[in-house]
Amino acid sequence: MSFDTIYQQHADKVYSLCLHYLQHTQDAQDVTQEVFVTVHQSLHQFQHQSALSTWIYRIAVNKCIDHLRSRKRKRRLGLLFSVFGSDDNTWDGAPHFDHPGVLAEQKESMSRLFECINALPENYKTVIILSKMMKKSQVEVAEIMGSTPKAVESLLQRAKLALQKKINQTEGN
Amino acid sequence: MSEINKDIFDPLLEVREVEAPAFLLTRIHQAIQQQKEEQAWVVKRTWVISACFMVVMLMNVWLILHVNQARHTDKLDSSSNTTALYSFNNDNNLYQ
Repeated sequence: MSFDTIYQQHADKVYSLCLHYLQHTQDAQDVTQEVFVTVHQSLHQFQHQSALSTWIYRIAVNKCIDHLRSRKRKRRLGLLFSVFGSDDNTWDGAPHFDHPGVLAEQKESMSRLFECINALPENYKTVIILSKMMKKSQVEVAEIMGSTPKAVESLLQRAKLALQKKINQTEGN
Repeated sequence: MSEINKDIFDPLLEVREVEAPAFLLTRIHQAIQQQKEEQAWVVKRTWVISACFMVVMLMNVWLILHVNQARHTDKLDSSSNTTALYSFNNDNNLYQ
């Protein structure tokens, strides 16, 4: 299978996954690019132990997590620079909510919901995005996350409770 | 739990899948090409550094061998002089 065919088959799914994760068009494009460059580079190493889509999703999830970590690092660095009064290097934190898949009338409520999802631990966020937004089965989610379906089920339950708690906290403030 | 599902996750299910922009494939091909060029440059640089290292090592070995050979020749010269002197003395039968 040629690289272009693989891209045509998976690009929309990967781009949507990146958008759900990062909620920023430019960042999602950059990470999608990184994902497919990695796929091109490592395609010969793919051992067909899982479906190709699972492998690509795993790369995408890891790239998104890496991107969010580097965003956090930049934010910390920006804070440090702002403390020392260097205005050139300040960075104003996370970018604004920008998800083209969200309807305009729901944008505000969804922005708040995503804010709560973003505050959850990485594995909670991943399981919610994969199973609820990407509509993957528990078996597929387990394969992507390198876990078992049972563990994914339990993780999803805990993620739901944590999200509910987070929403209640936000509404209480 | 079903209430939680309904309240929280229903809006998430409505988030649509978004098509990847058409220019992204071109960008990806450019990035792949750039990466290939960078890798080729790294390989080239590694070869040049290795070649330089080999030349330096060979020069070192040649220098060591050359110096050793020169020392050895010096030693041989001085010992043959002694032998010559000794045989001269023998030929003249100084002690007979």
